[in-house]
Amino acid sequence: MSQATISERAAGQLQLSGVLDYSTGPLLREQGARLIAASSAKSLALDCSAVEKSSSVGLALLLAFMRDARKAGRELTISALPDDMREIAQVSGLLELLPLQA
Amino acid sequence: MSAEHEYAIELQGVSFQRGARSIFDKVDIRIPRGKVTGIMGPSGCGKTTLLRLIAAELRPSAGDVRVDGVSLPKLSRDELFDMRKQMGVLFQSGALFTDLDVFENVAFPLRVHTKLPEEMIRDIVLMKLQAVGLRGALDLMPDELSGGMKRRVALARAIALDPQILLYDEPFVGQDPIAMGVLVRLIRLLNDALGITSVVVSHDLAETASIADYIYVVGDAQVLGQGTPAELMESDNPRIRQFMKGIPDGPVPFHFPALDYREDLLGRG
Repeated sequence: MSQATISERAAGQLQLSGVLDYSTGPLLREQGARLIAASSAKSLALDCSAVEKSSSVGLALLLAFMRDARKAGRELTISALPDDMREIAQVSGLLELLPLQA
Repeated sequence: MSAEHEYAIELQGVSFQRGARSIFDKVDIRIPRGKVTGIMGPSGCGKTTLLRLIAAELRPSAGDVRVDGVSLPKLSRDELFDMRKQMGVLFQSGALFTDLDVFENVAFPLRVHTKLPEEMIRDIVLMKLQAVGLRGALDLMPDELSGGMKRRVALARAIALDPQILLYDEPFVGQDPIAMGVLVRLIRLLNDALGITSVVVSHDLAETASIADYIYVVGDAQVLGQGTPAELMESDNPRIRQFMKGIPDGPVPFHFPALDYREDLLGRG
């Protein structure tokens, strides 16, 4: 079974880490939704530098968190997208839709 | 999957008999990781049987089939089930569920094999359909699709679970030139961008030669020849001597008309 977490390291600073796949996806979805709803920060930054490996599930998580942030009226940016996620995003035409920050 | 094994798939001394007839007799085939490998030969030479041996739907009469160094004939039923999840298969017929629409056809493996919430299943289905250019066709039924579109939907379904290995059984049969060009482009794109190991079983020389990094020609229960398409073009063997150019992409757009992608995924902003 793969391991993964999403945590708020400082106000508005979210970090995804571990392996994003079909086994870890459902729980990450719930944890992320709770964090975004509970965060007091106006804008949110999601750091993906600690993601070890990701399938399409990782991209679906990013989209879900973008919807959460929009619903909560908060801005969300995404940083340090790993190569495997970038490749999947490219093939599925998502690169232009993700709020990526260098 | 580990990257230790240079070959994603290895057949070692594989024999397969059907009744008294020998379909394969001590065949050795090695499929390099991350490449497109063509398996070619005349109809009825056992190419589909070969795919079924790799997918562990059939057991060899003798010899070994290894995927990532793991011997398939030795695996338990549960282990085989897990192994198959890492392999996507595009069947010759397309084999879509005729009573399910395009969306549900692609969602099917996600519903069977994962516990993802509905919104994430939708994201992944839209991503896969976008990749094959058919997101706009999501609520069509299979009988409303052209042959080429059916095959692209089947491809979206085959990659729904992000397989490491994709097996294509005669992907070009019955396709018009534009559909063939689209398929060739997609197979190559998925292979290169996602690091997938692709095995294309086909008797269409031109398309397979245009896409494959390496080709095995099988016939008479043997491997008749192997090499890069360029090497095979020099071959004296009459069965493998004639290769043609692949048909390029035409003016027909790749994407079926669709809603705005951003809105479709994220809602109206």
